[in-house]
Amino acid sequence: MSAKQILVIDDEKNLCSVIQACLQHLGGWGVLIARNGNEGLLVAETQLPDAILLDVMMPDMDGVTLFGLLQKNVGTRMIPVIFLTAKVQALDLSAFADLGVAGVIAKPFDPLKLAQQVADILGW
Amino acid sequence: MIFSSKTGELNNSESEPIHAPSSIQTHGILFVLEEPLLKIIQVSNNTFEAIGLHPEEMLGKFLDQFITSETNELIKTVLTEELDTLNPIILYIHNESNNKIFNGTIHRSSGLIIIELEPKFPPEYQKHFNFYNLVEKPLNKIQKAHTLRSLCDVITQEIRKVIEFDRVIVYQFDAVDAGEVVAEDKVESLHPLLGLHYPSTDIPQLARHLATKNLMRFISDVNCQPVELIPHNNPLTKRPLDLSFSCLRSVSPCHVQYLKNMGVSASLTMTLIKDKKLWGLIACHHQTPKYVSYEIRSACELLAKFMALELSFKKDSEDREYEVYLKLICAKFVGDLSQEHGFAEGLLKQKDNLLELVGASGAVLCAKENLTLIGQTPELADIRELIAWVETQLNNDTFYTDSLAKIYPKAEKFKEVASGLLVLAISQMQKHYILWFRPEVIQTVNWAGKLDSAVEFKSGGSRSLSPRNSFELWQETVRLKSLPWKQCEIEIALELRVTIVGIELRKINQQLTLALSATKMGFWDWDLPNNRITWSSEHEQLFGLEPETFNGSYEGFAACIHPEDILDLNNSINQARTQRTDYYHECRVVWPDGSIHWIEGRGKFFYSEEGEAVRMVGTVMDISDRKARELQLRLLESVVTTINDAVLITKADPIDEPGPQIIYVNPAFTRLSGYTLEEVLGKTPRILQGEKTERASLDRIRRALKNWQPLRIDLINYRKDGTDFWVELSIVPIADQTGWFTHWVAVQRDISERKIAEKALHKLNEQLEIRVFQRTKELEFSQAELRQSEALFRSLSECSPVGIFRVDAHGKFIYTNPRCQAIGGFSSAEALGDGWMQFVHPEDLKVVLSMWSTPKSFAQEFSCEFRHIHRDGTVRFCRVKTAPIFSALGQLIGHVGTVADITESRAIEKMKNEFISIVSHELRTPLASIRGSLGLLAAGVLKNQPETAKEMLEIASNDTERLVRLVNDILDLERLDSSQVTLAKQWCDGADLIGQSVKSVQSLLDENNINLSIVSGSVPLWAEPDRIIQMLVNLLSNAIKFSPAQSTVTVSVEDLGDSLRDSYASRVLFEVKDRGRGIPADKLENIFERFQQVDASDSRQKGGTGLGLAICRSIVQQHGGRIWVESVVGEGSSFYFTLPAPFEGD
Repeated sequence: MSAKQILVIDDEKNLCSVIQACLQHLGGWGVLIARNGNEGLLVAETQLPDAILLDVMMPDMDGVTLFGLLQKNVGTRMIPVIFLTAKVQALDLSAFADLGVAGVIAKPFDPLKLAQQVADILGW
Repeated sequence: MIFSSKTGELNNSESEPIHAPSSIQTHGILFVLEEPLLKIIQVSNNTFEAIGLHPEEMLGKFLDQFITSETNELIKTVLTEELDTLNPIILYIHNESNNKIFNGTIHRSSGLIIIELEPKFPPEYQKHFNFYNLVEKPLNKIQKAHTLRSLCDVITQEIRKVIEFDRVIVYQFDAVDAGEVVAEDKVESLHPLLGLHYPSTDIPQLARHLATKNLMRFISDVNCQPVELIPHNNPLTKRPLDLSFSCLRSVSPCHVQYLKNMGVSASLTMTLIKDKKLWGLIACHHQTPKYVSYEIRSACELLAKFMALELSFKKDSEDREYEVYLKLICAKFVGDLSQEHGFAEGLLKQKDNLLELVGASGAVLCAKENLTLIGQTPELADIRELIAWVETQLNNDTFYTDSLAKIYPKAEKFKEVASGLLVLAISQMQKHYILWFRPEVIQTVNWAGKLDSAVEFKSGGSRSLSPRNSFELWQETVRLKSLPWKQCEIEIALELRVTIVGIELRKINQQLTLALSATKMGFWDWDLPNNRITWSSEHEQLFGLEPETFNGSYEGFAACIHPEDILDLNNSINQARTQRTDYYHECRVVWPDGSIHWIEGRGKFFYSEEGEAVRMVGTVMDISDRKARELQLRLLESVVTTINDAVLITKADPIDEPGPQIIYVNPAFTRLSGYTLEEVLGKTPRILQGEKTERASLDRIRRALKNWQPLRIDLINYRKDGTDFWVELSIVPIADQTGWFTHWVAVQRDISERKIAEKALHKLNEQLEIRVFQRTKELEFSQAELRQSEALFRSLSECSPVGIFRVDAHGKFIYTNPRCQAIGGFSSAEALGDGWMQFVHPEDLKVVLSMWSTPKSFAQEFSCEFRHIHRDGTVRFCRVKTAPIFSALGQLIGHVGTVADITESRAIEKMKNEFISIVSHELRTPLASIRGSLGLLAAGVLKNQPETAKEMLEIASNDTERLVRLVNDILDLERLDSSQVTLAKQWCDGADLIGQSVKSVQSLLDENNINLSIVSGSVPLWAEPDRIIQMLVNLLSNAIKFSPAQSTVTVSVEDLGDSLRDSYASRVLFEVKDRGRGIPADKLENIFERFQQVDASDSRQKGGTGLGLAICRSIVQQHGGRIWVESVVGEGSSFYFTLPAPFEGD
């Protein structure tokens, strides 16, 4: 069975690199990077990754809007989405839970535990 | 013409049995046979001459002995089929010496077979005969004839060619069976008959009757001696054999004489039938005896039949135009007849058309006794007499004559206007008629011989058949006759009747429908043998059904009836049927929507001659209202019976002595007074009065009774046992439907106990009044104190900076102070009761009310925040707190509350939360990178990945710097905004400040390959130089970062000094101008807010923190200046800021 692939969508280039390193080296998974919502949507539709790690606060199209579009598409609606966000106030978290995302990981995250957190959320 | 008799009466002709002469003509032989063995029972007495056998040799024998076996088989076959279609058949008769061939015709008469034989000429004699050739041309000509006249001409010419006789005529009968020669073809030497009339007596009724049965009659020689039948009478009936259908039948002597008188020796006559009636004849005459073969006769018969067919078409086509014209006139009446009340009024609208409809000159419309005269008519009295006579003559819907005076002699008096009469009976029962009149038209008729010459009386006065002996032209002047009524005129009159009756029926139907609808009645008709029920639409409506949805069966009807009522209904119907009584029943109907309605059904059965019920017809009516009233009445009755108050009903009169009589008292009356109903019936209520009954009360009662006024009064009554008691008496007059008062109803209530209580109360009242006086004094003193206290409270409330309101125990607003009204945006009056709710934001109202309900009910404190819509249209937030207020007895008497406008604090709080959220994000993002990269490195995860490890270190370093810048900017901005910074202002030169700033961005200029243009002279200004340099560096860095390579950034400073001397705020103007991508218009306003970059990714790509411009704005504002930007997308932006001249205090 081929390794799992995770699509990381974040407008922070540096953070993308760190997340990639964490997931590749500690999770052993393939990582796809997208730097904005539109790019993320395209990659998700064409590559159909096993999961998506999605930043919430992004210019142009925020994570919540992108999640809505992913749900609207029959091909992508089954892909589990984890929000990776700095918006971690109680009000924000309850709003995300209502959306139906698989889970939320707060920034800044523990690099050594990130892959495990993802695996726990997705049941891998 | 063919036969002559003294009269046309059939009974008179019976003395000459022309249909049964027991003899035949000489040109054929006749056999009468008995079935089934074809035994010869009669035979003509000329067989020996024809076939060499004497009648005696053949009588009693069977036919097959004299004919070939093939012929015998042929006859047997023919007898099993339609004889007319098979005639003639070829018959071979043989005897010992020879065989002979005959044309034979076979028919049945009186149950016997009659075979008539005429010699069939051998083919060599008929060379010239070809049936097809014979009839083809004549048929074509007949077809091409356009008019009746030309058709008659053609037929006479063509038949004479075929038959080769001296004369052929067409003779047409009129309405009274007289006739006229309408076409003729003859040899020149003969005198013409064309145009001559013949009276009906020339052709007796029996002869006409025979002509309609036997369409062709041939007489070959009027002078020949008839051949008698042997035996003379039919042996089975002992009477002469009926030869109506015989073609050989001998000619009656009278007819023979008639023909001889006309000079005719041979004759062939063919009957023309149109519409099953005798229309006329084609008569062919020859002066010498002449035999016409069967084949030629057949050809002539075919032509005659063809002509008869054409006749109806030709005749119709001639009248068709006239008919169409009449139909158009008739159609014109429809509109008026529909609109007017009666048929007469409708017809009167078009008087001329009414006359023209039948070609009349006068008419009378008779609607019962009302006569309306149109055009030329007899006198009114004559018309009334005429109508009375006409009524005795009417058998059908019409009666008409063109010679009224002949059958109604009184008509001679008014022959000029009414010799012709056409009567149309619209309704004989209602005496509705239309009479049309035609005037007398004097005509001249050419008769073939004087009419009287044909009359010949036998001695004793009896008349007998006698031929006419003179045919010389005799002209008669005909009077008392009008032009005849044409068939199409009669028919159009009948059509008018159909139209009138149809319209009247429609009106009646409409009236019936309206009546049924108005009375809420439906109609039904039950065909019992077929179980088929027809309902009117009202019936369906009464049963709650959609129009035309009732299935028409009894079961369908029964399904609509309430299940509890169906048994009774069936019993009612059966009872009406078996006892032959009228049906009446009330039951409930269940509508499809489940609602129940009372209906009343009435009906009647109709029975066949055998006594079977075959039809039931009736009505249904909705009686739900009546049933409801009955129910109400029953309820009222039970109330009167069971109520504790005594009820007494009297007649309305007499008011004076002895007083109105009692007709009813209820059980309560008996309990109260001791009198039973029987004891008081017929007596007056005065039996209840006694010495203690107050005079004044009785006077009031009497006055009320006299004035028919209701009255309520207390008075003393007496029981049967003599004890007295107080009652409260109410009397009311009751009126009937017409408004007349018919009864009094009195209701008496025992108030003895109340009266005792009232006495006690009266005493108590006196004591109370004394106490009240004392208390009033005390109260006045308290109230003065209270007023003082209230004034104090009011001043407090009116001036309070807090909104205050008061609600009562039911939660209704009863007071708001001015501050409360200002916050809510309502007036004191608008807030009262539930008025305040209309100002609550609709989305919050439900929540507020549900939250408020518990504290309101349970006397608790309450606090909540909600939105309300201010009078000025703005949405505002308010915070409301209430506390319960209790009375001295601990009872909740309401709530007092405060209201505060928290709109601003809410907005500040929201902004704060948003800012914290953004800052949190901006801080957490680089922190995430730093923590992530360093974490990986520290754990040695990347020890085998030196490139990635290096990249992680750079990430950590870059984001640490970014974090430092961000923290510095945040702190700097916070200090500036909170005015914690005291500016160290001093005089400095704008050009110097630009110079120092440019040094700081030089490396950036080089790095981005940007040219810089400085436009400045020495501009003194009063500012903190470091802060102005910080601003310039910031603005220059932005300009450089967003400019394309090799473009120019311009920085300038200008002293506005003298031009705007009155404005301290605008002394010095700096401008930083770039040729970058520009700023969209919608971003211009917010560009100086925190974290409001044009593109959020700029902070990462361009190394900014998103706070630079916000810091610039703070610095300018600290200096008392202004900063703004002007930009065109795609062309570039110019950032301006001004600094003021120093204040006097600076």
